[in-house]
Amino acid sequence: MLSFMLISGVVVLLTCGAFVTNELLTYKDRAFQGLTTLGDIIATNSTAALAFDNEGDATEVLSALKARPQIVAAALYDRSGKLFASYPTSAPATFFKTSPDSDGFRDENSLLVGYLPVVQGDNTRLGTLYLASNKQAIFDRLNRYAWLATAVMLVSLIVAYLLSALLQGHISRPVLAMAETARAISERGDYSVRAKKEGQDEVGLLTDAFNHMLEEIEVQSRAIHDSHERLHLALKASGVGTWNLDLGANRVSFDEYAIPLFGHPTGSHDAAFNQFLEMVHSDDRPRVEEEIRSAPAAAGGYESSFRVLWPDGSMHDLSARGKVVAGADREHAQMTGVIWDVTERKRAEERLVRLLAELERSNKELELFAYVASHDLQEPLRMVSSYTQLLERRYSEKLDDDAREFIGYAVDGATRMQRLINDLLDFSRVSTRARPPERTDVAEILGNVRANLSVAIEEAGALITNDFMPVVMADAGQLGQLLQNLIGNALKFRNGGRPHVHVRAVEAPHHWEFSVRDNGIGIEKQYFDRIFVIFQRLHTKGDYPGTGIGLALCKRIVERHGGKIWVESTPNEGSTFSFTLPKLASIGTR
Amino acid sequence: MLALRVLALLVALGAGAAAQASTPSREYQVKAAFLFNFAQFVDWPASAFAEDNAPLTICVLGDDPFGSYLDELVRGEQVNNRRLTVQRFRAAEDVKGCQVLFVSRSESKHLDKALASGKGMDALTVSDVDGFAERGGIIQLATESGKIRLKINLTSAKASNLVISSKLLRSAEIVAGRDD
Repeated sequence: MLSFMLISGVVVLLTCGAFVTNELLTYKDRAFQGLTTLGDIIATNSTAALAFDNEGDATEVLSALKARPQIVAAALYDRSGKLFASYPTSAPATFFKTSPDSDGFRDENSLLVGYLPVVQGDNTRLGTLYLASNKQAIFDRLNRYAWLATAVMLVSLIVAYLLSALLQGHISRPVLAMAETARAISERGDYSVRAKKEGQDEVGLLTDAFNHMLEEIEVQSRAIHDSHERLHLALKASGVGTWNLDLGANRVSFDEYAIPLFGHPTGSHDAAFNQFLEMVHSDDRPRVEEEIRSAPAAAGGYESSFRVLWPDGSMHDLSARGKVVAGADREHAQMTGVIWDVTERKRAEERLVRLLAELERSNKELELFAYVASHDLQEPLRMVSSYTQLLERRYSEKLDDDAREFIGYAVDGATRMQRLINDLLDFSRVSTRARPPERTDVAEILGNVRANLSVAIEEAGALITNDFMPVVMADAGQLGQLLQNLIGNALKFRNGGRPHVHVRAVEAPHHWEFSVRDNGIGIEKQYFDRIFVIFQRLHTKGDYPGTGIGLALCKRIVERHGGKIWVESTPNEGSTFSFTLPKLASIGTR
Repeated sequence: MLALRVLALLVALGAGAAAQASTPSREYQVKAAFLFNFAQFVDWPASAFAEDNAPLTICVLGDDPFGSYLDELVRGEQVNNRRLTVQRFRAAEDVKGCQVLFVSRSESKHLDKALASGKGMDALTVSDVDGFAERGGIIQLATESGKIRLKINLTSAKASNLVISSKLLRSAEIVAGRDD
């Protein structure tokens, strides 16, 4: 409203100012023009008086100027330049110049003065007319203009006031309502407020747009709020804190979740960069500073782990990750990131490493022990075995039945112990005699196994079949041992009928799955795990001979190759032993 | 003052022809100027001129009181695109081709003849003879308190088809002609 009146007031003021300025600039010309017109009339009327030397007539002509109050004096000079007649008659002769100046008009002090030629006919000059006018008319005119301008301005302001009062209902009120809404929102943060729409005109559209914008802001504000809440929950739950670092200002700040990580339950959120470095373990300090300062040049952002000393003297491991958000040099970079405590994990890892090392060492010792023991046991056992057999061969005639039976037990025990020791040696050799994996054609291995088992196969009348066999990365000797054990078992635990063993390989994305299926006696489901444990036997040595080491050995070999082994079986129908071999085999040292 | 003026007048009259080549009195200088000025305040009918670009002729009948002053006054001047010339006549019978006819005092006894010839050619008749206007002349130059005043007989002017400027009339005294 004020702006309406201000604008119209300024416009009117400028317009009037222009008029008055024009008047001021041209009033002299206009006054001279008026004076010329008047002078021409007087001059024309006074030609005869001059031509015929009639002073009285001339005075009479000049006296007509009484009608023009602004003409304060007038005079006629004859052809020779002598004063001839003057006006008003009361004026002293000394008021007039004794001879006329050159023709033309000029501004003399407070008067406008003009000299005009008096000419009759073509160009016969009869004399000169002198006119002097005061400036009252000009002042009157300017005065009138000033009053007029004031009046126009007043009227304009009144009209502007009325108009703006009228228009306010249409424009200002909706806009003021929107401003009020905006203020309410910024003060209370309540984005659900809407401005009231008052019409279908442009202001109505503006209100709509404003409300639409509010809707967007409300939605986004809620999304931001939710996201913020989620972030805080996540930070709180995970114990991850956030930090900002400004190398240029040499300041670092932490949020409420980061501060406890330094052992300060409530501490300053803002610290100098050096104060932060003070908290870092002195051994890590130069590395930490260098890692931070070289972060702007690093491609993958900032990532670091370091130790900090808490005020209570305890030491904690922290991990930090961040990225540069502004600035690109060591001295001015600004970074933001997260930080969390990894003390527990570090300690668990260290414990794990220690345990693994111990385990490996004891395992090695055990294997060595088993190997040495079984190797060294063979020598006395061989002596017991061979002398017992010698005793049986040479002295069986001289001994009675009881003694022969006893010797038979001793020979049998020695033979079984011999086999046990051989199996134990095999078992321990899985790691002690291991070879690195190489390209191995399983079909070839399978051929060797058939040859090794040919006596047993023939004896049992067994049928051994197989599908396509791939080439894998494996320790060929151990793979052969594995297949030989599984097929040998299938032949051994046969079910009276003709044994049929089928070997197949199925390709999976990352491994091969081999299976050895038989139609033997099968295994109860409850024993599926137990059969892979060393020395665990399901049957008496009388029914099926064996040491209880074979499947344990298979399990060791498969696991050493990074695969797994299991069994599926239905009693009296048969068993299927399956194992996997990773395609990219990397055989562990254990 | 008056004596001096009369004396001057007598001298002028006595001088006669001798004065022709000399400077006239102040009075006749003014009167010569008046003759010239009349040409500018009077409109002649077209019939008063022999042809379109004929000069406007000022004639002096009788003794010439102006001498060469009048000639010098009009030399090179033009009125309404007409040159001005001066001619002198001794007898009224001879007068012809005049637009302004000045009747010298020497002709005061033969005024009727002079007026008749002036009227015949629509000439503006001027004279400083007393009673000239009353007797049928158009403009009389009368001297009053040392100043030359004009007396104009409008009837005579109209009779000669002359239009006299109102400005000239305002400076003059209008006189009625005597019924002859």
